[in-house]
Amino acid sequence: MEEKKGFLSILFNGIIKENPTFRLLLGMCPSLAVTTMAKNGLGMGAAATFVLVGSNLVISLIRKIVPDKVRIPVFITVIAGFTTIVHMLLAAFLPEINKQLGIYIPLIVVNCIIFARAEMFAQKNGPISSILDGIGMGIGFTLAITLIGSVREILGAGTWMGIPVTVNLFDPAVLFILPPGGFMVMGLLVAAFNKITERKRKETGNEADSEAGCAAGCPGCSKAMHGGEA
Amino acid sequence: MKELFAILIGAMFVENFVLSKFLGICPFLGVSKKTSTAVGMSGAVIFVLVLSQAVTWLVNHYLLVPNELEYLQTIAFILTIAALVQLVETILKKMIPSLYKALGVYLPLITTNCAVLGSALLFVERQYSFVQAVFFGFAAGLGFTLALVLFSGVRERLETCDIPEAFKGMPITLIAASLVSVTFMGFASLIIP
Amino acid sequence: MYKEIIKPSIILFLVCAVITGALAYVAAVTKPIIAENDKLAKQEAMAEVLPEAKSFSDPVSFEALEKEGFPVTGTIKNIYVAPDCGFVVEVTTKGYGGEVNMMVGIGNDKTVKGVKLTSHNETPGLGAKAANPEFVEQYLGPIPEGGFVVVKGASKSDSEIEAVSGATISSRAVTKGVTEAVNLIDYIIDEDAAATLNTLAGGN
Repeated sequence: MEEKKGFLSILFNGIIKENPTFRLLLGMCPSLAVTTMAKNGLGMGAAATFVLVGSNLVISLIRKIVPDKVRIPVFITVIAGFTTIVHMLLAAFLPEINKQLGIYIPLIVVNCIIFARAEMFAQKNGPISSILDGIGMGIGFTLAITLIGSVREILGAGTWMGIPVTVNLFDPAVLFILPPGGFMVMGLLVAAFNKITERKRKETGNEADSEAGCAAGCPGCSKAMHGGEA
Repeated sequence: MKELFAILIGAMFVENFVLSKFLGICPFLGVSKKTSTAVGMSGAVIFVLVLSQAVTWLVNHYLLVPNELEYLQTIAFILTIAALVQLVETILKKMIPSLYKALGVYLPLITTNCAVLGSALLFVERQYSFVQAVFFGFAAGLGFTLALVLFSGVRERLETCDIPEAFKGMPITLIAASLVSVTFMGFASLIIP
Repeated sequence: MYKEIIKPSIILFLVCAVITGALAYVAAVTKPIIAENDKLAKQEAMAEVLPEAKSFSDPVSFEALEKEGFPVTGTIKNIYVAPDCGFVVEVTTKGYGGEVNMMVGIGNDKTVKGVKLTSHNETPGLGAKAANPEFVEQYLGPIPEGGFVVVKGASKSDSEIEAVSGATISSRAVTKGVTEAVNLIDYIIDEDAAATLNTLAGGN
């Protein structure tokens, strides 16, 4: 991450190449739990993006004065602070969405995407790059979970964003908005994403990061979390 | 007693943390490759869950609620959990090396396990008493264990299967998880009306 | 010493202090808005289930009702009196995904005027359908003799409630709530307990 990158490439990095959900397989819990409807995916994505941008900015600003020893608790405090702010704002101005997302809003704290970006990007880069990284990753996450939500809502309830779309085409299969459908749709979408990027990779001859996701996802970021203290 | 039993059945089967509430998905997918690691991880999770439920309940009940600081719940809980995990790790290392050997590698992974923070947030939402909250943590841990151990069996079999290229790794694991989750839906009718 | 322990501690403390301060500020700003939202939502729901009512009393809580010897179980949360019109009962039962909260409006003539689910965690597309008007409309009308029964398949009489298909537990949860509310109001009207209730409500 040390080399200078164009701002634009930082922004787009999170959307496709390192899409947090489909490529890095981070933040799986909310990706599966709240995606029964496209609208919920959008709300969750927006909330997480807010936290991501805020914590990336603050961490990038204070990165030089925070000693390594207390790095982890400082990061956790900053992230938890932004999460609580977003939680209160949602409760005040969008109570419907807040009710739908329930405990998964405070659970943004333990969403690996945010911690991983703090540790891998914001800690090493300036504030502007960090904001862009946050926005890019946030958009990538939002698009991914809105997509999962859309697929589940259309197949499972026959609606999209609450609008009926499949009235005369087929009877919706409720299974898709139940928990098993979450795993299933996620599995199929990751496979599709693999297929697409695989073709691209073969074209460009870059075979490097194929298996990085699975195993290195969450355990990876937890390890990073404790690496400095062990 | 009846209430505790309802919590046990509820947290283990009906609303299994992993398979129906989607809490603790990361370790569920990350360390379920072999049954032995699944058991180790589960042991560590149960241990931390019970302990953290007790401590966070006390923090919430005696520090936050009386001072009307409920809005600090998320921040207080996550810091408590992080500190607790660190403390447990240090103490085990010094005092009970054999247990540390068994659980040690899994402990650092637990801070970011949504199941731990999730159960803390849930006992607030459901207004559990101290005993209920601790028991809920224990039951949720058992549910996590059940899902993880069952699923590791499934995954060990997947290893020998011939899987299409794009599905290798995570996708096929997720689809297998979907099928295990379907079986757990059968427990839904166990709910006490 | 300074670099090892004191400096990290000071910085950690400062970060915590700043964040807590920011949170306290946001909490102070949002708290009244949240309270106002809740109040508005509640008022709207009450007006919806008992449209004829001009005003509502303050809530009478479960504890107060129990103390005065009303036959209430824990499912009844609050009851509001609408003078010369009827009552709104706030009930909480256990559904498939957790608590189901609802408001039941009942007129002085013992008819169910409206039922509204204010919050629930039922499965979208299945149990959540129990919140739809098509389902709750089944309760409207005079209270049937012998109460409501949930049936699978088409309902044949006023007392039979057709369950949402695939969601018997949610249907039962709503029915239980309405039944409890109806029983309580039945008792209040039959036993002339409305006066006691009015005193509790702090009304005239």
